[in-house]
Amino acid sequence: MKRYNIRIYIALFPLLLIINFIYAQGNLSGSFETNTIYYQNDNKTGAIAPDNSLGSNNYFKLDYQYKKFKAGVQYEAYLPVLQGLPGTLRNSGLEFKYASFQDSNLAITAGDFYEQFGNGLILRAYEERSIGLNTAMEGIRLAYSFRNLIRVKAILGRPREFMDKAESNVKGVSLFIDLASLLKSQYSTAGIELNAVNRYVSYAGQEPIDPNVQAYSLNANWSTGPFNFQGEYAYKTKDNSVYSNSINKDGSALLLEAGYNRPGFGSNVTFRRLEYMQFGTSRGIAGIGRDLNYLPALTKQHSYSLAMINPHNTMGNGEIGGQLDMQYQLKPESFLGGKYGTQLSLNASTYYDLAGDVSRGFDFLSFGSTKYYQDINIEVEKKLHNTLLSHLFYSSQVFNPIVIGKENKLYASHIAAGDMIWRSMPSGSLRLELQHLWSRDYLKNWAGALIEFSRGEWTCFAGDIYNYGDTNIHYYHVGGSYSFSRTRVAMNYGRNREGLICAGGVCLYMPAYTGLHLSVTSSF
Amino acid sequence: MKQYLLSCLLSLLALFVAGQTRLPLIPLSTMQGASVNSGALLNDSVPVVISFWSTTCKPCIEELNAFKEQWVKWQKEVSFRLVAVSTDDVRSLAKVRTFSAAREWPFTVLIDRNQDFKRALNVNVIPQLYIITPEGNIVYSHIGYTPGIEEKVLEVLKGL
Repeated sequence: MKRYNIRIYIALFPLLLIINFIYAQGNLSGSFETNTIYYQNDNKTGAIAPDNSLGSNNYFKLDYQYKKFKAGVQYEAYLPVLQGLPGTLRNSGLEFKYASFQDSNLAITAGDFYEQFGNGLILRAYEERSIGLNTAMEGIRLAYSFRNLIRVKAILGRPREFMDKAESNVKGVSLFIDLASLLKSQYSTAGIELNAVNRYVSYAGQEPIDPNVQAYSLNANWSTGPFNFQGEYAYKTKDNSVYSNSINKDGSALLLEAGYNRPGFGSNVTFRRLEYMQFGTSRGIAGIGRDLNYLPALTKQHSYSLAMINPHNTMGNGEIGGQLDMQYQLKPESFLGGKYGTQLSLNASTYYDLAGDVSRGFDFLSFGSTKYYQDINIEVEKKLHNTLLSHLFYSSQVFNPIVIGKENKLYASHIAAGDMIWRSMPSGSLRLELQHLWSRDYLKNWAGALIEFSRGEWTCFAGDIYNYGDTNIHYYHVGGSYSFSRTRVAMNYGRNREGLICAGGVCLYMPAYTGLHLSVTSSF
Repeated sequence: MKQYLLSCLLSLLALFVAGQTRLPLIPLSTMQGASVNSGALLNDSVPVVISFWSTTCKPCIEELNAFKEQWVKWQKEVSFRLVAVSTDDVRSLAKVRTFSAAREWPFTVLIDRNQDFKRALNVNVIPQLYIITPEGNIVYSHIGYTPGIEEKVLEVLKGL
């Protein structure tokens, strides 16, 4: 055993020398993340543990910078992949590697890169580890800025598809013009962005399928004083793909936003219309890890678990609707605001299908007859005492399971939640959270409670959400975490319900599981 | 088995090698849509506190509210700049403006739309906070927020 240890030290010594040398010359940085779950069978929820009872997603990233040059890699190991995430994430490898040069005007990247044009309506390459998503492009990226007034980006590459590359080649160019700076306006900002993307997938069959699909978008924004406006229109040429039901149809998207914000008050209204705008990395099935663009659900992202049971899932082939968001502060030392002030929030959204059909065409601004989603959310945040903070929340939601491929019907629910945080100075806090969901549909009523204690770098919690309207199952959780500098270690044990898990606006249907979850993240 | 061992070794390596020491230079945008390079955050020649947050992260908002409460007092004690970098993407980007306006945050809020800055600093979870010297050196960072940790930030700033 002793000899074995000596061998390890001898093997690590040159590695440490190399690291020391690299540090002396430039800057080495990186991160490590593991999410590992030991699964158990659970008769109550129907959760079935995999053969080896283990799932483990691991990421190790290294970046090295020397003056204007940078290079890096990301090693990923799925040992095996966590249950519910795409099974095509398997084994391990250096899945992200790049070299780049960057000065004040020019940036060149060879290898893998992330990118977004405009609001992502025609292109977004990004990573969302919690749902196993990474659509990084492998190829060349060029960006040039002319005195920060005009910025040009050009990309050429192949999108990643899980542990492989998609069958497509993607080209794109983006031009941004800072109009306000060009016109030397001191009181407003304004800019326009023109984007174009080409996706080529070779085709040797007999059908009249064009191997090229083009997508274009025009984005404009203007902000002056308390007002801001933004609009983006996107158009996609005919795209005969599985995700568009093999209908050789073109697509379009319109996104409009307007806001009025001044100290103590913020408001924003968003409108979006999508018509056959799903855009896959190939002509096969689109979805998690296979999308070239980004069409998130424009609804409130909730932090209370019972408000997340039935989240909206964007219908990229046809959806119209919008969202309103308002926030207001009742001033401190006022009659209604009390000593510390009170924060009020209102958020509402509604989405429908498009009126019309493929054969006769879709109306441009009419709502269809099928409601996909609707919610109204009200929040009150009030500090009651120097050491006591309260938060009250109410949400009324209407969800149509057609958005996850099930029958066309409406589930209505009402959720009320509240939490109190008591601070024990200098570094302790106790949080108590209570939630309830009322519904006559689907799984009917739920109740939930959570208690969390933090002190210094340590946090521990115990919680449960309980369905008492249909299944009578408790989904309990107990766990804790320790954070130090740039490292966090967390462990929890409990049951997880089956259902949609959404991260960054993309949703994934997860099976129920029960088990012990270890999460370690560290950066350096 | 070899892969498990390799993962364990890499995690130990991550824990024990020295930290990132320089501020990466990445384009960010203001809430009005103007472009700002992260290097410009150092233009005032004062230390910069960078806090990564999002509108859906409760501890992040608690941390920023704690800074707001101490803002006037702290500015009298030590000169520094606080930049709250939002990692919200298109889904919740519009709420960043309403959120920060209604809360009257007195510090700078910038947007990291496709999370390039977050990735360049190897931030995996938020909130994560950094203190950068006027020369661009990272001298302190922490993950997560527990009440009172802002006093540690003040202590580090006073020592610079």
